[in-house]
Amino acid sequence: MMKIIKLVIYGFGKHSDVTVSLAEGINVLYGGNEAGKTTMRQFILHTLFGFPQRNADLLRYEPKAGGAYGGQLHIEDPEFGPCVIERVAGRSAGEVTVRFSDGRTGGEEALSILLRGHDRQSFESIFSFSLLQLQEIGRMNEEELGRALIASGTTGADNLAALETRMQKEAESLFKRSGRVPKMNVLVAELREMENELAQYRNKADGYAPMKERSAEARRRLDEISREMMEREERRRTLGVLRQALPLQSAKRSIGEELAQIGEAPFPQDGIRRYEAAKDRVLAAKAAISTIKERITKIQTAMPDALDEKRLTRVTSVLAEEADWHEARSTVRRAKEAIDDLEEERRNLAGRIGLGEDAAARLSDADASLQKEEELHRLTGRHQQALDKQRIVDDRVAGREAEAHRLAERAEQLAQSGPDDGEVDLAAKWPEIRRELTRAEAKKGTEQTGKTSVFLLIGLGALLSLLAVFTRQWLLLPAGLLIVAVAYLLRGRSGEGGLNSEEEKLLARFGGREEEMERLADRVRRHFAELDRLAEEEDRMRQEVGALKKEQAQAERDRSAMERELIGFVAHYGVKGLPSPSLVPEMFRLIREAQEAARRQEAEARRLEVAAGRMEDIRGRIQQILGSRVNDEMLFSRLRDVSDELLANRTARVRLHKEQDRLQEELNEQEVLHESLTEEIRRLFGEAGVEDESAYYEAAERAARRAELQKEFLSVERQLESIGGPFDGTPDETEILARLEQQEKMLRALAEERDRLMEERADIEAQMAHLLTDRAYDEQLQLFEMKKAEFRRLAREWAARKAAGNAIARTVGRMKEEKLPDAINQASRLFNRLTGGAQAGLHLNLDGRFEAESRNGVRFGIHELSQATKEQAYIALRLALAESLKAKAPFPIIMDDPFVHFDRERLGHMIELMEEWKKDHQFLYFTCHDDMCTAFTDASIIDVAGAGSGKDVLTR
Amino acid sequence: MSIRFIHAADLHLGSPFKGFTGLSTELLEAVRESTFNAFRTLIRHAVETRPDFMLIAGDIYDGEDRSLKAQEVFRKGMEELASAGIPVFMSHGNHDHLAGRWVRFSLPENVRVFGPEVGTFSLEARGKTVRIHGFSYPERHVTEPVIGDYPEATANDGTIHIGMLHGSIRGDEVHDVYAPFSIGELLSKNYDYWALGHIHKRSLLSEEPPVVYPGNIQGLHRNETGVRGFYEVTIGEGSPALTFIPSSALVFGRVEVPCEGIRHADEWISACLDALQRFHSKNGPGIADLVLTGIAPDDELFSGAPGDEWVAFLREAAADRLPGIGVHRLSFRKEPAVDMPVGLYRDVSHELESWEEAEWKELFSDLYGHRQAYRYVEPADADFIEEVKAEAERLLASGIGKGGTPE
Repeated sequence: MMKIIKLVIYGFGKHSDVTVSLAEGINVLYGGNEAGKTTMRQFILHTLFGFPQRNADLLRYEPKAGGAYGGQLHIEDPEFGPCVIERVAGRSAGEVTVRFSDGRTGGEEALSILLRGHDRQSFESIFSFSLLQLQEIGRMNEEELGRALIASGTTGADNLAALETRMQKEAESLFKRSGRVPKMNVLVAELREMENELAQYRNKADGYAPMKERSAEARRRLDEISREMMEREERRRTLGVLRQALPLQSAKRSIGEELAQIGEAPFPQDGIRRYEAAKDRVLAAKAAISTIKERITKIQTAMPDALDEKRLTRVTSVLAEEADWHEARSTVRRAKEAIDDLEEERRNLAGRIGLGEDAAARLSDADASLQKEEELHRLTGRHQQALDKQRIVDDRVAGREAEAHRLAERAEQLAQSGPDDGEVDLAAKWPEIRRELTRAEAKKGTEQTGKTSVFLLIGLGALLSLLAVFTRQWLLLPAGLLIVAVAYLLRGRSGEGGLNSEEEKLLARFGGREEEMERLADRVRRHFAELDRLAEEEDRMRQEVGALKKEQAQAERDRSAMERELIGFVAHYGVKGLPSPSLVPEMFRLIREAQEAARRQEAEARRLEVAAGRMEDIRGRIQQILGSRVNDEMLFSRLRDVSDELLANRTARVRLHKEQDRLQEELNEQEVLHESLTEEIRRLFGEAGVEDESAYYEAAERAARRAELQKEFLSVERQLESIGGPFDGTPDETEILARLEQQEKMLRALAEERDRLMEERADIEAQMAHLLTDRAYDEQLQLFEMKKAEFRRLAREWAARKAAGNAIARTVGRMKEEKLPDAINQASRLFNRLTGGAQAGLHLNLDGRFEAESRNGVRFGIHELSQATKEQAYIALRLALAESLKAKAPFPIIMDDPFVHFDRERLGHMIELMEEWKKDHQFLYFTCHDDMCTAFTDASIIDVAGAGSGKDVLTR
Repeated sequence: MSIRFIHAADLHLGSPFKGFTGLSTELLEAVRESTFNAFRTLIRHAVETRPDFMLIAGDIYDGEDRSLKAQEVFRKGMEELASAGIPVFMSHGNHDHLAGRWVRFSLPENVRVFGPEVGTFSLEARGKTVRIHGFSYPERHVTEPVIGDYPEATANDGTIHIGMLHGSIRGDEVHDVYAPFSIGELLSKNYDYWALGHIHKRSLLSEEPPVVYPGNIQGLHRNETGVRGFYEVTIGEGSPALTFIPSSALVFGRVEVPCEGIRHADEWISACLDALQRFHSKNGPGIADLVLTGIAPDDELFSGAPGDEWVAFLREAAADRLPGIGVHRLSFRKEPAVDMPVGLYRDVSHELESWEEAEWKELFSDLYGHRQAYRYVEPADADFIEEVKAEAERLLASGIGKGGTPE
């Protein structure tokens, strides 16, 4: 059981800084009117469930004088022990703090737990109620009462029914099934109206297609009218023309008649002129024919004989040879001259070669070929060689003889200038001496001396030899060489033996003279050698001369043989003696020239012969033609005369023939012309259908008239045509006039229809254009949609309210079934008890309404009960619920003077019940009736007014 | 060479905006012109960029609501394309099906319209043969699949195949089922491009080949938020290239206004206007739903006056500063109160939650069964029920939460 131990009010409504201690069991909070009882009750509720929102229906009880707002509730909870709930100003619901005995603190969540999840409504509906809330029951109708009872009996809030009712009302203000006034019903009507308007718009738009069709139809009809009017107009014009054409038509008719009378009237075109022209030309042709015939006769008489063609041919061919003739004549003349010239030349050449007449004549047969000339050259060459050789041999013989002679003179000179005999002798002995000497010297001990002497000896020999060479004393040369040889030998032998006397003597004599001795020996030796050499040379010369002499004789023989041969060769050409070699080529050239001249002479002679023959031939033929002899000079001039004559005859004949032919042709032409003209005249007559000239002229007149009429006819026709004729079956004037009038009438009618259609069409087009550009429909459509949206918005609101109300109703219904039976039974018992058994109990009937059952079993609806009994039923239900929730929600029961309508007996029952229940429930009973302060046996009495003064707290 | 074309759908020319209330006169004008302006943007873009052709996959008009003006505007647009030499291939969808008995305007030569059976149009573009397959709705409802009638193309036959289909994916519960298909069925046709229509929300169902809902060119319902437009497509060589071209003249959107710490009305107005200004800079002219977030549970500013008054107040302020922006409605998002649903509220709340759809419908039967009103209500679908439920809870919370009885 939860108990409120103490209220500590910081500031709340009129209360400020008040502390109220409460006891277990029953607490009676007494105070007069405006003492602040309700304020205090609200303090408890506000503190537990929060200060109301500023816009809520409930008062907030904020202190008017300002200062702290809120306060504390000290409670004792069976589960949580002692707690302090403090709520002060803060958020609109206030700041709440729950302090538990163990020092823990918490906020709203903790409080919610402490309150077992009950909100203010459920709390109020069971645990806290005032007289007012009970009194309201009296105003409720049966159903509402029942619901309120059930609602309060289940979860508490009797304003749940009010909320449901409000929802219901709001929903109905939005929409009622059969209403007119609710907003949505109004909107539905408006929407319907707009829909109708839209349908009208659409109908108008649907008219567009027919209008379009009608417009097109009108247009077609207008086109038709336009066409028809044009046709009518044309017809009217035609009729006017017809009127114009009437006189022309009659003219046409009369011309036609005359033409018919005249008939065909055939006549050739241009007949008269053609006939007269033909007649003139026939006469002319006749005259021409006779003239031509005369002229032909004349020509025939003047015609020359026919030409002798063969003669002319002969003449002509000979004449053609005139050039040949002259050519031949000049050839003859030139050939004769040439022959003479060549004869002269031949003679000259022969003379130059030196030949006589005979030889010269032979010369032409001589072989003057190049071969021969070559042979001659060879012969002359060989002859020259032979000559040259002979001369060389002669020269050599003379040379050798002169040399031999010089050698002999030299030998003589040498013999005379040679050494004397003593010298020769000494020289002869010297080698021996020197050998002795050398040995002696060697013995004397000095080898060198020996050697020196040998060297000296050699030098001496060399000197001698040199001298021989330089002096050309060839005899000295051998001597020199000999000395050298000796010296050499001496060298080998020297150095042996000792000196003897002889040797001493020798040394004395020759000692130191070795060189001189050597020179002498050498000179002697060379002299003799030279002499020998010269003798030998001379011999050799003599021998050579002998040989050359033989050679000289041979050359002489050869030369003469060559000379003979050469002479023999030239003799063939008539040349006598040995020709000079230089003349040989010249001779051959001359021979050749002579031969050439002879040949050309022969050629000229032949040409002469040919030309002369040719001349003879021509001359003979001419003479044959002429038939007489004529000299050469006149030959051709005569022949040309003959030819000219012949040709002239022939030309004249040709010309006359031509003339005759031409005339004949002309004659033929004229005859044909004559024939044709005659024919034409016949034809003209035929065409005119007459036989003679006079009839012909008559026919011409008829034809002319007809043509004239036809022209007139055509002219009339053209005129008719130009105004639209021809008009067949032309009606008469009256009919034409009638028709014209009719056309005009129809035209007027068509014009009227046209104007009417055009007007109509313009009207339709305008309407169509309006429809195409009209925005009213779009606008209306949008407005319609907007209204629809508005309707839907309201529909949602309606639906929400419907749902809310329904949800409440159904929740309540569900509760009824689940929780009600126990509570009803309990309430029924309590009701019975509170009424002191006057009422047997409370029941829920099948309609969900409460009924009270009286002691005698009669059932009444709640509304049929007295006010007090109703309130007792209400209290019974609340207490029954509190009891049934004792375990789940063990809250104190707070009552605000709900028993004022109770009589003493029933109050007694109530007090009795409270006394009985105070063990399990804490009661806070607010009252303004002082007798209530003493009604309870064991109650804590609190003076609220005193508490409100803040001075003290009333306690018993 | 690649071909380039424009793919648009769901023009809904002249269609009114749905689900909006309380639009100012100026905005009404803008709203009325918005579909036309979006369409003009489409035409102008085509004339300026000269694509090889244009595809319009159904729903050119809004069925019986179509105005003559809308048709005239469309015809003129087609004539502009004709002068620019741009062929157009179009089909009719469920909103402008062939059975409608409305006036039909003759269209120029360049426009070719698919018949009630699946058919094929061919054209030559940049040396390529393009074959376009499609059909028009013969009547308002085509609930049977039509995809089976589309011819299958041979892959890589040198021809470009494009399928035009106005319909919804099989099993899409949100929309009514029209000519249902599955993506697999589309892909099995070996087409190079699928030009879809019907779904107003832009989406790319497949990348290669592209299977595309271009969305509508102008949002028409307050739920059709964001920028709308059409696609410019290049296919042929390389990967397909899709460029989204915005066309919407008005953009709908939700604008959140954080209201933490706001104590005074002028602070709130200025916060709202700033938020709307940002919306305007991003999207241009439009209509916004304002959501006020972060309102304290013990808020006293907004509780001080009914929501309608706040809306009116804000509209008045916005009309001066941002004439191009409309405020459609305000939602107040209160931070949840600390005290959890307990007691009676909890019980009632549980009761609300427990209702099945049938129970909800039964609840609405007064209105939905009303012989006149039923025509104007929105379908009592899950969304609607959810909304109603939320509102009912709000009512209960505030009604029960106030607690106590006034004395």
